[in-house]
Amino acid sequence: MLGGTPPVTLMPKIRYWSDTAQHEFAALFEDADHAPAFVEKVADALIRGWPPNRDKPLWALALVIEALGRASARPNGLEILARSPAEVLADLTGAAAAGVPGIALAGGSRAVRLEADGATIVLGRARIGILRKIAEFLVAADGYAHSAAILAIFLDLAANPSTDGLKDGVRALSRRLYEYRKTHFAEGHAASGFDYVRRRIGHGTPTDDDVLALWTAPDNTHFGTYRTAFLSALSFLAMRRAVTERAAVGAAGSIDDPANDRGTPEAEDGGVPSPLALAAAFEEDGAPPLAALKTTDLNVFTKAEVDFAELLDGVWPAGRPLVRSVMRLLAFHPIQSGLSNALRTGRSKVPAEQRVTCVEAASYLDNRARLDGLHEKTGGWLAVLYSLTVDEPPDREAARVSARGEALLSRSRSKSFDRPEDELTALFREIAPSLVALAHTTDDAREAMTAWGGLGEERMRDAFEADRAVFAAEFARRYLGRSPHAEGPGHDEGRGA
Amino acid sequence: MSDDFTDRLAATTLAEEAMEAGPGTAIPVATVVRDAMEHGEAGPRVVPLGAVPLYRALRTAGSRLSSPAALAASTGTEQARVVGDVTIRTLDEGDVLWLMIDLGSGPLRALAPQRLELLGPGGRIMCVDLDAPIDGVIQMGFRRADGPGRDMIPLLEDPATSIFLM
Repeated sequence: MLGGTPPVTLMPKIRYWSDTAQHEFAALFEDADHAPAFVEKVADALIRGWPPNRDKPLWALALVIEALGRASARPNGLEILARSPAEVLADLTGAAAAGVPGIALAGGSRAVRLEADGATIVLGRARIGILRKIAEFLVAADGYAHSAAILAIFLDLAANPSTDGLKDGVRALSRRLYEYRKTHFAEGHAASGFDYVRRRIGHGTPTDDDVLALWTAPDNTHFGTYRTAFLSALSFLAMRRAVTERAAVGAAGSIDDPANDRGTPEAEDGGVPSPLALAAAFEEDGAPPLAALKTTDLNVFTKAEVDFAELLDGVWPAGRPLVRSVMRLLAFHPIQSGLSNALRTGRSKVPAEQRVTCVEAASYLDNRARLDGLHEKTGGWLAVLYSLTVDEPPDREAARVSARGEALLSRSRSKSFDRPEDELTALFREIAPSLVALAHTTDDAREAMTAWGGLGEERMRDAFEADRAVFAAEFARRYLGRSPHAEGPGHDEGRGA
Repeated sequence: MSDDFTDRLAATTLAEEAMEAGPGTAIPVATVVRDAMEHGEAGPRVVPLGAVPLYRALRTAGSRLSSPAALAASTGTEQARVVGDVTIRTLDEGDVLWLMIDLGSGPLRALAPQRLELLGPGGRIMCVDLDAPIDGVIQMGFRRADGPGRDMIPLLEDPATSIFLM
């Protein structure tokens, strides 16, 4: 390669769906800055439904529209599109309080339980948000070609609520989504991705190097990013486990998820919910755990901190036995995502030639310190939440936590905290489940990393340097079309394009 | 097991690509919805053709009165629409087209609509603030040659235009 910019090439990405489907799916998330975890939940719901039932999200969607219709004096089947998930939830909890049949409160007023024909489902704000995106997707699918028909179904569900109407509506929506899947999601290709992972992992327990090899191997034509390769390995393991368990227990085919029927241990009198209760309510919701941190008006975490937390959260606790793989993800995924963004937008503060060398990557020691910092900060915000919601701490330990929270709050100079106390309390309550989840995750991850870091700082530094060389070579190959000297000429498909 | 894995993998990568994708060619539903929920500017706007049914349905739900089409007996330039006891008529006077809205005796009489929106079959949208009614009738004239009339009148004269009162 003589002079000029080396040709920039990307690994060809495997398409499991048409370009139309990709554009239409991406367009769903242009309205706001959605958390990746949320986007993934929506994709998951569209492609697989909510296991074990593929059509369960559509059933839930129809049920929500129907319930809103029954709850409203002026039924309008488009409320799910027109109003925010929080407003829809407020309508439904209002209807439950007013005694509309088939709607009950669950988990305080954070969720509702809808019932139809003997099947129930618990819906919180996050799930309603997912349903809304599915509704939007159905309307816009195939360039709005079927929007009139879909809208007619929505309007009819709300205007004429009945058991038969509900069944017909669900059937029609399912058929539509099935048609779409058939046209746009080509699953045949993806199966080879499965074969590839199975061939590499097989029946064994993969080591960190196996995971890395999944991505760097010459015959990897399936995964563009290390993150996807890692996630695929984790889902392969999860499924292998599930298959083993299912074989032992026998398949359960209920439309209702028994996990949703757990009572929620929350103070009935509207008092302070314990963190445990929050965590339980939150699990019921099936929400993307950290979504609230992205949308909150409070400046509790920086964007970098939230990104870090989300990246960790995506692979935790499943990645617990593979600490080094997690470390690699935390250190090098931001580099790869920066690279692909720069290639897409053509804008970048750092030239690609420099970025591929991973000079910007945070070392494993840095990331462990970051994790400690995140844990500490999360604990601090929980203390603030505690001091805001509890007037008289019951014992000395509680008083200490409360005092810490007050101190943090009074020291904070962020404008976002400069609001009346009850408003502040309400905002903190909204992010409480995310804080609790984050506290659990960071606590657990710290423990695992400390055990791994028990090798000593020197070893951690060496591990980082070794990994950095591997990632830098791989990035150079993928994004600059350079064949790393250490590898043979067999798979430098990007060169000289 | 293979199917399940395939689906999971598909979902993960689809989501990843959506996060990385720039502004695509598809029209987000959320944008159309926001447009239809807000008051919107007066000037001519265009809803993408495919999204017209969605826009119309949302406006119908959000407006105080809506009329999807004119009476069959309407002529090219003089239109009449009847919704309950409210009538909307246009009167052609050459240079000027008169719009007359008789608010009837129902709720619109008690609280007059403030705004009128026209949605043409091609997705073209025009808004106008209505004058105060006199004795239950709103009467407004639009010049064909210039001003808002130039864009309004072709829509008003099209029997397939949806009219919304808000």
